[in-house]
Amino acid sequence: MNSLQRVMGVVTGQPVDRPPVFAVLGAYAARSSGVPMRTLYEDAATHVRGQLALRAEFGFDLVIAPFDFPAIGEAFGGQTAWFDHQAPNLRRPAVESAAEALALTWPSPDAEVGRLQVCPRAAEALATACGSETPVFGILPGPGGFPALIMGMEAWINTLLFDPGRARELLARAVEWLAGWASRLVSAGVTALIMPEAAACSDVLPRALFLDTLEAPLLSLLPRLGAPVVVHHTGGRVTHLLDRMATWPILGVAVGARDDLAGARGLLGPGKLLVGNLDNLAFPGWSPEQVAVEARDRLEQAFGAGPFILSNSGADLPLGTSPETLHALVAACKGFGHPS
Amino acid sequence: MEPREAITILIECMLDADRDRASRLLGELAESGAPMQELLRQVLDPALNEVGRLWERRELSMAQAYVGARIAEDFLMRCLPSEAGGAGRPSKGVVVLGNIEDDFHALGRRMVGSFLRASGWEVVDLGNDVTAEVFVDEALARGAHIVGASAMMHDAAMNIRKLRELIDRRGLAGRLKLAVGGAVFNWRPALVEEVGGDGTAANATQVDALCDRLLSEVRTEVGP
Repeated sequence: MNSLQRVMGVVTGQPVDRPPVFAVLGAYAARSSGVPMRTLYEDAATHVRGQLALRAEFGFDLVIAPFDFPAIGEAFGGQTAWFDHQAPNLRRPAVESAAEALALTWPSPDAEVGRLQVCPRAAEALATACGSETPVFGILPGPGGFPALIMGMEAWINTLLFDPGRARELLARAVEWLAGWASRLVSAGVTALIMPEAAACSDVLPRALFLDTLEAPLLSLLPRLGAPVVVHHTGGRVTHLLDRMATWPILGVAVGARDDLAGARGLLGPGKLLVGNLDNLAFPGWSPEQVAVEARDRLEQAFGAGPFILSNSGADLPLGTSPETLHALVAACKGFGHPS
Repeated sequence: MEPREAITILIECMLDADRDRASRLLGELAESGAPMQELLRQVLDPALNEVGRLWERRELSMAQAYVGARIAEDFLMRCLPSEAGGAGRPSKGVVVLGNIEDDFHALGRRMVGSFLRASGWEVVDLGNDVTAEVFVDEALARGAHIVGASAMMHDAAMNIRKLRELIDRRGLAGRLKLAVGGAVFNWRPALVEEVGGDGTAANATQVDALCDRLLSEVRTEVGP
């Protein structure tokens, strides 16, 4: 059984040989291959080589197109900060206010501007290279966090809280842009989309505010994406919205390390995919034995109770994580038995 | 209006993100003839304490805390037009804040600045991506005994070690305390020691108490 068969089997409730397992290894390819971080995020072919090498070394069940939201912020006019040991970040957004963001000419998702096309090109090459055997996931920003890529988090939160008219206008434009960007990724051949949505975390927005301001734009976007979507927690907790997510037209939800897996399954219902939830920041300190214990704990909680993929909970896995720990994570899944 | 009622309304305003209602409340309190500085002590401080308790119990979102910070700033501007440390009330001291080198997540730092100003500290905000040298030089130039270094991600947080090393190398450890904070420290409390922090706070509303403690340590170690 290859990774695509395994993941599809889990999603559709069919028997699988073992639980599928995944770790967000974007920047990690720089550690494994010795490629400079900047090259990894500027050159689609380098990213693809990195993903294929990681797949060959560890045997995780998904590969990802670049998780690089700063490339989007950069295309709007922002500036990227580069680091040797972590993924790039947005140093300075394009503008500082909602009024400026609305006045800005937004680039087309197809535009050859900055590094914007690195992601779809890498997705296409990955789909060609291994898409028949391994699911290729594209990463799509959620509309609730997207304006922050253009104007910065503080200006966006300020707008969302105190300027509802402009917030609605920005969200409407965000939905249009994201539908176009998703179309670009789906055309490139991604199997599914992961949608990090920071605003869906209880650590960021209270439930009522999310439902009042962001659920409607999100629900207007989801049917337009053209691929199954997994909503991602971005590091916080999403339990407070899982009963709503159960009604959204999505494939599933990646929950945070502080969300309770069994409780999440109860709220989501039996059909939707659940992904998670090993503590991202704990990985560098975990020995192979510890990660195996943690993995078995999550699998015992969630595998068999519904569609489940074991995964780190967070964005990129810290580069301090040892390869032995990652091998042990995959081995824990391989040794977890053979449920029918 | 009794302070207790005003506190309750103010907390509701912060939780409901209703800055306009908070502004109206402040106007009503001012018209009633209440001494403006007393409002800080009798209304704003208790409201912020309650908000801090909610945050500590993870019952408060970042957006609600952000609204709390904005409302606190509104109160401060109305009650102390000359800013904390000016003619309005005595300053508790100077705190130099910044996001450490390679960190660009400004929101938490700005909220800390707001709550510190509301609590009576003079805040020097150095912005994002601040090197150890700039932190220390600015602290010495401004007579600060506390520097606050913020980081959201693990790898950036490790750059705070450079600040620790510089403080120690210049022999400033007794009179310049290093407060550290940011999401990654809440997730991994052991990181505070790893980067050499003298203390941390779980959220922005608790940084006032942290700075009180750190300044007290300075006075114990080197005198007032």
